[in-house]
Amino acid sequence: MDELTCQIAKVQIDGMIDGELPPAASARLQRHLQGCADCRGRLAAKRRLASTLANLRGLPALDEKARQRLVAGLPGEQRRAWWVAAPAAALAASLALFLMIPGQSDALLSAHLRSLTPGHLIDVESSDRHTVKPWFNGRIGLSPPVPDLAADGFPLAGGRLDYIAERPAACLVYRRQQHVLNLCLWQGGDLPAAGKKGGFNMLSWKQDGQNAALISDLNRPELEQFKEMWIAKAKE
Amino acid sequence: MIVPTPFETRLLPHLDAGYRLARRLMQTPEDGEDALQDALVRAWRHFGGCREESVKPWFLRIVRNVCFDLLTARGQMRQEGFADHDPLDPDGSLHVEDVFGRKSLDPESALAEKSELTRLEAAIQALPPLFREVVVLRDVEGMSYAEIAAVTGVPNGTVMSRLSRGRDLLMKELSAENG
Repeated sequence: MDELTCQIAKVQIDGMIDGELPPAASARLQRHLQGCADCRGRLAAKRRLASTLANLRGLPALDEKARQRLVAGLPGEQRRAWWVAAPAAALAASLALFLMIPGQSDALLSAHLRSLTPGHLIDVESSDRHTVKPWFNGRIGLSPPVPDLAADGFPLAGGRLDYIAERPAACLVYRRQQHVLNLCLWQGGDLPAAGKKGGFNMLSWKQDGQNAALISDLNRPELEQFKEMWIAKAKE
Repeated sequence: MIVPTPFETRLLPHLDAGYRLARRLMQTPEDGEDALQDALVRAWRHFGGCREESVKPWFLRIVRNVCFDLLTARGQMRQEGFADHDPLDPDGSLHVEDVFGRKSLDPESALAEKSELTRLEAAIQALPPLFREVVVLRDVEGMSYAEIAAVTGVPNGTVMSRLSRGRDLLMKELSAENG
């Protein structure tokens, strides 16, 4: 079998780095590399370039206003997709005062109590946000932000599908020591009232156009603190 | 009850990748966004005809076609003359000087306090579009050769040779800027 020329080898080096070179060609290239310092230099340079380029992964990010404009430019009702809503708007909304409807807080409390009965808390048990987030997307088409707050003392326990006032909700379950925190997101209907009910603290806000509610037996200041951290990290 | 459409659940997650490609293929952010808008509307119209398992290459193919149409219309596709030459083909050997015939970066502004990433982006911008797209698809999007072949409509071997040449050009551009 004739030897590789450098001209061919230098192209195949890229295939090898990318893991796309068939085994036979790869073996042949290895033999060439053993005897060719120039091509070994090329390989090293390409590897350095590849690791530099890896820094661009995910960049540039599509800013949310542009995303909204793009989707709004579509015919029909595509624009209703909640997760394309601007976080900036959500932030403004979360700072605004909302009309609180008492009936919704009962629904939220029921959901929380139901979740605490054995075997009902978690549908997808994982502390990995990259597992929990797509799990929702595959089920109700909601892909809620799932920030990781383990370092702040609120490890993620998993996620659950639930219903709040007959609307499907994505509920994230976090823990704080022995306390369980349910954070539910759903589309449409009214925002439940914040406050205290049956020994549980409830907070609510608008998150990217969705209703968001947090309920736990955790004390109010810590719950507030969690909410702020969650919102801040959800934007990242 | 929320019933998301397949377009929402299958295509819109790739909007970011489409944006990253369009931004890098076009000269300005505005052009990138316009091209993406156009591609998104086309994708929406033809989504029913997308049978592919993976929607991402299908969508990115639309994005790159829209971009290349615009670039061609504006005479910005400088490499038409050697677009289909393959470096593996002895007769199609590329000349770096030809490839850099297009307007290059202003050396004054290229000087300096550009961050590492900005310099990298500028070097990518300096690549001819056909090389730029494979580098972006592979090195930024992490797509396989088969997926890139589906986007660009050329065989895997050509994907590899364009990548190799594109990265050579990129290294040359980066070292020229450093020097």
